[in-house]
Amino acid sequence: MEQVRNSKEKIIAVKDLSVTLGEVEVLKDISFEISKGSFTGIIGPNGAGKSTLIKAILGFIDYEGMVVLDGTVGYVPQLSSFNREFPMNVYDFVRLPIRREKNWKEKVDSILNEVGLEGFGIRLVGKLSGGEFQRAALARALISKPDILILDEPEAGVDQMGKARFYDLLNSLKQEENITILMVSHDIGLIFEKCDNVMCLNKTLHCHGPTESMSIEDIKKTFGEFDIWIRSDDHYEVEHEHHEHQKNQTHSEARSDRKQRDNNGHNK
Amino acid sequence: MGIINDLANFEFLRYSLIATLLVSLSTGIVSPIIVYRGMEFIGDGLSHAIFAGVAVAVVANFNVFLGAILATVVFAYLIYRLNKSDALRESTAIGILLPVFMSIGVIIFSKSPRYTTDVTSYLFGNILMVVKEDLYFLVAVTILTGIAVFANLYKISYWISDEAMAQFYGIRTNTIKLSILFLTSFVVVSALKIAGVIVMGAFLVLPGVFAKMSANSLKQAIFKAINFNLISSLLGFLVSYYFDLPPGPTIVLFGFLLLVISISWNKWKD
Repeated sequence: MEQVRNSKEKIIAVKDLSVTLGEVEVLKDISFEISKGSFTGIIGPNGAGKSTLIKAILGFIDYEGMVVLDGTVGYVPQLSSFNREFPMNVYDFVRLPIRREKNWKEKVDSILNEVGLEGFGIRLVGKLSGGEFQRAALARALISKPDILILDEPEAGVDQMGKARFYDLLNSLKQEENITILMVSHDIGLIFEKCDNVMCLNKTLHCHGPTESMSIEDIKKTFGEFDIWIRSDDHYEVEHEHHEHQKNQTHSEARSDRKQRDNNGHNK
Repeated sequence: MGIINDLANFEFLRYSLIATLLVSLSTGIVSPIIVYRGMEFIGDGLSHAIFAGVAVAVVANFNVFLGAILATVVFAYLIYRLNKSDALRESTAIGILLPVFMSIGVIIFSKSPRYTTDVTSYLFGNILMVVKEDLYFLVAVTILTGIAVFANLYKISYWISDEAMAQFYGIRTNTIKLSILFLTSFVVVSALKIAGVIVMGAFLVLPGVFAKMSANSLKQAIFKAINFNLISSLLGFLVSYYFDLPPGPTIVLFGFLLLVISISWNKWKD
């Protein structure tokens, strides 16, 4: 495991990264580079290793290969990472990266205004909605002015309105602060709408390139059957129902074929 | 006022009252941490570890307190090791080690001629046998626990609520985990004579559960837990004095009653 910081146009570089958890090889030979100021979305099926890749980049888990981060990092984890039963207010939640600074309260107030949570300082984190929680987590990640922002499924548990606001906020950050964003998401629709680059991951890196050079259809072709891993919340139910319907149809056709074969056999 | 006169006249009664109040403080400090962190069985686990340590000390004829401390420190460290690599959750590690330590204690005690007396004393506590040295130890543990917890309240809060993020932003969560386990060990050992093995679990869980219902911060939860302990301990102490009941279990029953009343009150309010 080697983690190096250097200065180049590329702000993140990953080379030959492999992760084995227990006896399972979760990621194999992942290599990519990410340019400064870009917005990259990582998509892939459940169990593809998306969150594992993020954890390896952040140094949470052991890996083979090399990760180069040319800047400071802010991280927005999944909603489930926080114990929502614990009574912590938003001030304490957000000030974690700058907890030793004397003027932390002013800085927290300022960043809360920026993410649209003005006046939320004394509210309990456990009582926030999914969207509010993610904005608070974003405020925590941004308060130390990082060069790189890494997000792990920030839209999980957030309603459509909250999701749209959250992505707009990320885009304005990217434009105003030139921050580099790397984000894991299940929402392929939004990834294609908001990101500059897309990475398709399923144990190995299947594709990586500018969003405009790829289409959702191309990705479907690459990965085969359209399934729950590649969804937009708008499309998921319809697609899933369609998929189930097709599956049922295939089953009933198979049953009908079998019945016919049985009948033929019996007739013989 | 019989109890006032008796408190003035009998040293052992004064000691037992002071000990009860000190145990209320020390267990009140660690209880919310234990409950929020989901380590409710730590009290039972450490108490059973004490059982093994006490058994070894009694049979080998050396200081019982030393045996208890050593056993709980070993127990706490084993939980830390088993949990460190995320191989086992803390509660699972406690569940594994608890019967092991208890079995060691029972096997060793079975070879002791003082088996029945020793077991009863360490299972239920004997508040009336508190001596001055016990009080010194209790005061030291209470002060140490209070300083360690209040000086690191923010770090402990983040360790409980989001360990991964706490670690990401430079909080040494393993040090906090080990420190909390060791502090809890000392609290359990110091409260042994008052609470006993069986009652200890309740002393460490009930106040935390009570505080969790309405606290807005860990600090507030600790003060609520201390208040809860003080009220139930004083009531339990008075009732056990007037009705000649065993103090430890009586205190626990009052704690349970207080908790039930609080839960009912909260439900009625909602």
